[in-house]
Amino acid sequence: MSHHCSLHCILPPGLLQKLAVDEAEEVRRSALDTLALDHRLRVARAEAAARTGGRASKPLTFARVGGKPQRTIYDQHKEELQVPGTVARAEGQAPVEDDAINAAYDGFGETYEFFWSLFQRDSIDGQGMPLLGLVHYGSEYDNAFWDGSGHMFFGDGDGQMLKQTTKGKDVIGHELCHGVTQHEANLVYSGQSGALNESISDVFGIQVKQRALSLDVTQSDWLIGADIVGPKLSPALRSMKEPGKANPYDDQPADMDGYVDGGDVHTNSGIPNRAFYVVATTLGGHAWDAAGPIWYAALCDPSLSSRATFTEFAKRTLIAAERAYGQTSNEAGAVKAGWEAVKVPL
Amino acid sequence: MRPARSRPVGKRSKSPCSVGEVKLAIKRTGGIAGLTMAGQLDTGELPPDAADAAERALRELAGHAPAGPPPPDGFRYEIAPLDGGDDLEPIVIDERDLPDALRGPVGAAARAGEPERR
Repeated sequence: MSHHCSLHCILPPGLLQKLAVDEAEEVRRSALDTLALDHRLRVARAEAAARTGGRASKPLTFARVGGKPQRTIYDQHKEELQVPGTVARAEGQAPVEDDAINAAYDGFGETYEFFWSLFQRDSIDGQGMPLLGLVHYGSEYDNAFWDGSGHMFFGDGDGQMLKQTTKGKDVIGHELCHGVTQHEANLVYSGQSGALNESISDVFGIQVKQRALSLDVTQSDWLIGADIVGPKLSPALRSMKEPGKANPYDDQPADMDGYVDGGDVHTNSGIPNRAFYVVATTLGGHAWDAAGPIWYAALCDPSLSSRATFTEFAKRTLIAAERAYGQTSNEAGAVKAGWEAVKVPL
Repeated sequence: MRPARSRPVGKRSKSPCSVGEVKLAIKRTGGIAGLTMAGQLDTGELPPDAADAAERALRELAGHAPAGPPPPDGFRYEIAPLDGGDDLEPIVIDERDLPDALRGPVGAAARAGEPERR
């Protein structure tokens, strides 16, 4: 039937409606089918456009089911090699003798599980991105960092400031979450958006550790880096509960009264860190029951700009809480209390 | 006013490329700990070849400035001449952009320094 071919094309809805009214039974049915299909496509397209809102568009990986990480841990042999060294443990392989390698492998798995189980997020980019860990980077190297292009570097530490950095489940979660942020709001790493970027990594890093160890909000110490600090920075890098009190050099402010203009992103991140702590502990149970999903929804809100301020992020956490739990819910109330505690206006 | 350097004569022969020993102030910011580390690098204490390479690399970086913020938790260095490098300019550079000739000595100098309260 030539009618069918002509109908399943780019006819305007007005003409299709006219055909559906005027034409013979067969043409009419075909026109109605086309109208219905057309409507579904338009809705799907509008929905997709709203969903991607502003983020860089990525091809969808339909072939991948998700639910399993793709980990490769490399040994950098204490050199400052910027590219992956030798493969020490690949996905599915048995533990090796080197504990640092195994800790990275396990931490990657726990971080993947966290984002997959709670948010059905398939890895850093949501598209099954392979997780590449470069362990034993440099000599006495006091850092772990995400390079912005798919590699997570881990130093062994000098033993005084930091120890083996793969030992911190929160640290691994923190670094991988920088990748998640990059693929969502892509918060610019300076000023308030930079402090938010840092805080979001602490917020999800601590939850990765809490979930891996089955800790509720009262059992967690809310310390970041407690497992990787040496004697100089003991007991931790940061405290989400009491910013500024983690170690002798900790200068984090606990609320906006102490906000440092032009301060390091790791300084002002104490403010949103404590807001999350207040929200999670006000609600009780596990941090990932409600507080974590609220923060995640705000991070993924397409309207959150890459230069977001604390207030702009805070508003989106409240919107997320009200949408998921209701305007008069405990969750929405806890979110308001959290931001009020750190004096960030909503 | 600095004390005269007591250095064995002939420890390092001056080649045409050499610019002489330089004392540099090294400041490192960033990193997951978010600490500022302040240290010093005296190229006179490096092996001669390494010192020459480091000074040449520094000269080639004249005017370098980062294009934007550092990568998350990445180190950023401020390298400023203190002594003997009158014609050198202070630079700010992300660790990933450091040439190999500077990466090792600058990193070690920051590590050996002291953490600062910001």
